Amino acid sequence: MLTLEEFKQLDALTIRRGYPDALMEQILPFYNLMRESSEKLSQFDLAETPPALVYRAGSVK
Amino acid sequence: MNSEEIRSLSLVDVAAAIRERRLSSVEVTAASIEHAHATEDALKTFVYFDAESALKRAAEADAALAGGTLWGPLHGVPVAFKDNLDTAGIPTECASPVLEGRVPAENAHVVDQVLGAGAVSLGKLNMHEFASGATSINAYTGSPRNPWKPDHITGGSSGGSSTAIVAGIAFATLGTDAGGSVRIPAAICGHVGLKQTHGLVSNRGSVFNTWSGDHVGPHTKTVADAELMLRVMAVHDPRDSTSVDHPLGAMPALADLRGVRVGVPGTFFFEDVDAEVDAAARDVIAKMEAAGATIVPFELKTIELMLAARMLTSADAYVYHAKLLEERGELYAEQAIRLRLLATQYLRAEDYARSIRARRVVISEFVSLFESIDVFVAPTTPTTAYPIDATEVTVAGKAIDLTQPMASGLLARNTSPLNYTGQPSISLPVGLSAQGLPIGVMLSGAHFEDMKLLGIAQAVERLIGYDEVAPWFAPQAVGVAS
Repeated sequence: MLTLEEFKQLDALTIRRGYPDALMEQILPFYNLMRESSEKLSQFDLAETPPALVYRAGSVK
Repeated sequence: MNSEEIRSLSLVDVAAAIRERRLSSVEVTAASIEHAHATEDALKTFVYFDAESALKRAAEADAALAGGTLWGPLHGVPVAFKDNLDTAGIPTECASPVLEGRVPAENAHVVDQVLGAGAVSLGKLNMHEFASGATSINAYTGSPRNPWKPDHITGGSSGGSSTAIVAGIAFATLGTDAGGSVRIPAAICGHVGLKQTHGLVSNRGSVFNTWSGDHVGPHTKTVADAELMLRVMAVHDPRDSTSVDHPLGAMPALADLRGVRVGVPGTFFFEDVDAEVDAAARDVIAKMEAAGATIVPFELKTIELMLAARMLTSADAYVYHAKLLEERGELYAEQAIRLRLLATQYLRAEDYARSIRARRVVISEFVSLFESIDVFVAPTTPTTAYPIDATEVTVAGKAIDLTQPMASGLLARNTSPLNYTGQPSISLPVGLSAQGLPIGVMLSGAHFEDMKLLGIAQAVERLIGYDEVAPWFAPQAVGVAS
């Protein structure tokens, strides 16, 4: 999980919001939760997935 | 009939009584208004209430009927709308100071359907700010209160929509459900809440939460009431790209459950659930089996994938909030909503793309599952209502710190998978806990088999025979004159 300094670097290198440190510190726990999800998700091989959402009327099961 | 007897009627029964002129819309609406006034200070059901307009509309309904004109199946029936559903000329602020003064020019498509069917609107219902939480705790509007114990949460995000039903103020209300926000308060407050298949009801004019998970759904007293509301609401909207033109068909009238295949999940849905909630759900399954249903245990292989992906899929909510966050971020009454939304800016395109792909895999498994079952049964929420001011709650013997980010999501753990897949799902009230708080059980069906789900739910409703009435249905029972 990212530290505050790493999170500020991420901001500086990407979307450059430049929020005050206090706000970045408050956002960080939420970002780290999402990052945790994203790391778990990246462990799944999703190369072979159905080509479309399958539940629309008339579509195949 | 006196006021309490009128308010005891189901939606189907009150609509028939008005249609057949055994009751007038003015009588019924006046009973609703009287009770709303008597309970509002204690329950904080509404964020906007317009008795004068409601009575005017009720009088017009009575005059129309006297002249031989029936507006529709909800002719003259008092209803109310969650504050995130657009109502023309009436404030729609999502119970947030961020949208203070927002007055839409048009009704949401679904509001048009309900009013077009003849309903009388009482006003706009209290809710979790921006529908972004499962408790309805709201420091800006004052949290709606559970009619069973007013110092307890209603669940959310459609908390006021549930209070209005259980306290006997409205005969149907509309909520929205992006992760369980119709079904959770229905379970926590003790009534019926339906989330139909995604796409059957238009989302146009429902203030955005997550484009692919949002559903507008009805809150009612009975399954028959929910069916009536779904028939009114499920009208194809060519101006909503997610709206599907699909005939509902007829709801089967089941004398028993012979031939019905009932799935019982062996994974996830019964894990980390309070013992008495678990027992209530298993009792429903036993009753279904005794009524002739075939029990089909099943395991899901994609639950871990879904748990990893669903939070990322809902990140699209940021797109609605982007400008508000920039210009009025400090106004969010619940700053955790602002912080969560701001965090999603830093997700990578790869994360979002993976979450969309994961969704396809999960949906495929659920579609395959329903080749061998008709419905599956699970607790709607892992626990019952807890105090509004609680900072910690114990669920299944584990202490949960409610001050942690996303902590209130515990109430949505069983409901949100059905938003992820888009399947129909209904919460039924099944009994009370030892503390006298409602327990809900969730039945979920296959995509576009909403009527089959409702038919089975109605049979289960009959088996359960739930007829508990919240103390705040009759305030004199708790020492307040009505």
